[in-house]
Amino acid sequence: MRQSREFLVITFSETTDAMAAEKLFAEKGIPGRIIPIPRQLSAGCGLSFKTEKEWKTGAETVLKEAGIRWHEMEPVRLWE
Amino acid sequence: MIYLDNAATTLHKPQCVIDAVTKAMTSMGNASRGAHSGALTASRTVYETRCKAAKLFGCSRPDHVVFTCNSTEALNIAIQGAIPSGGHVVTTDLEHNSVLRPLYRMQDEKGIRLDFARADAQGALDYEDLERLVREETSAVVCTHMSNLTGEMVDLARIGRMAKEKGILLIVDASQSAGNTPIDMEQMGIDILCFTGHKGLMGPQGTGGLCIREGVEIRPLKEGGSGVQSYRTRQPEEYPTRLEAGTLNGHGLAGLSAALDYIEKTGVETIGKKERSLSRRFYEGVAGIEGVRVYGHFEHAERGPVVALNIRDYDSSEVSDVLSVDYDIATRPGAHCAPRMHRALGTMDQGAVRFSFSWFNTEEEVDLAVKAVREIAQG
Repeated sequence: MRQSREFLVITFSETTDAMAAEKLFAEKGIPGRIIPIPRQLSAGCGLSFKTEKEWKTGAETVLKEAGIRWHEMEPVRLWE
Repeated sequence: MIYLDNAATTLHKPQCVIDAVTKAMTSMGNASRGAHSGALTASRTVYETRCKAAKLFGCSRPDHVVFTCNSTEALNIAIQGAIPSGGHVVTTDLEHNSVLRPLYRMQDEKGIRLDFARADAQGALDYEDLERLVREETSAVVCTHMSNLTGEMVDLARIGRMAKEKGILLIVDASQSAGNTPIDMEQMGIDILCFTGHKGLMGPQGTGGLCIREGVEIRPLKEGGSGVQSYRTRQPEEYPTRLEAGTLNGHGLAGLSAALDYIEKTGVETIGKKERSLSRRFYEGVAGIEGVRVYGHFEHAERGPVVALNIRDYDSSEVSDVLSVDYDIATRPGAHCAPRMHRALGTMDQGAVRFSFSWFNTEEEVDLAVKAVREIAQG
């Protein structure tokens, strides 16, 4: 049985924004990776960034500074 | 073969472009479609290509770089998506059919009113005529940066200043200038810049796009799969997805990305200087040959790397065929999809033989082409 726990998930409505965020997070040392948007956040499709919950403030700050749009930034229970 | 048809497409590509396409075809999934490693490789590649194109053209936002399969598609999107029904548009005699035909369609179907700024008998744009044609209610000026037929250049900064002063949209066709002439959208006052990847940018065919100034609204020409916001009934509103329905040419864009790296490393000015030097060498070689008529104001320092000519009253198609068969020199004859320019030059019947030069041509090739023209002219 796969274990699950809460992660921070940041969703984007544009792939370009997801790519810009991925690059920026790597530069700023914010760990994580791109995943498909979990259904709790969107019944559609698209890309999101999965990271640890403690990075919420840091992620918000760097995205705002760079002017990168995001759609949602929520804790979501996901597989490890 | 001596390839002098670079205004149609550059045949010789940097090796890095070929390598990038090959690598992409063995590693890339579909951009914006999922988060597995193949899809992400494609998404990252496309994103990096947007960033590089934005940098090259002075577009303030990479997400306002929209990819298409060529300039024609980009121009159709810009013209049909940004010009309102019934609007007044000023364009020029220098234009290619990729500008003219979408405008004529808008004239027939959307009631736009069209005016054409004149070119003189050597193909130079009459700026005063253009400025006179612009009225208070004009919606847009659509113009080329460089004639595909003669290499005549248009002073975009001058037109951009006027367009800004009057609050008119400026749509530019940079098919011939991208890669060999510096372009800065902000500085030149360009609202929408349309480009192709396979000519001066030295990328693969099937690549191109438009760079859009922030705040310019363009209605989508097509709607369809986007990989995002799937349950919306209509195309997402955000650029670039708004204008990019369907799978992109990811493999081609990987090649374009490598081409943009090559151009940045080499320098647009360096490339342009060499191409113009080859073009000038060819012009000086053929200009004095009896029976040769070259089209264009060659006293202007700033021209594109294109020379169009005719020999006596010979059919341009026959001349081009002799160049190909007897000399293995590739040129383009006939009408060059620029009907109003041919009318201005008086070459509607004869057409013209176009020699166009690239970064990979050499002085030896130019000299052989001059020799061939001389021999044909001497009969």
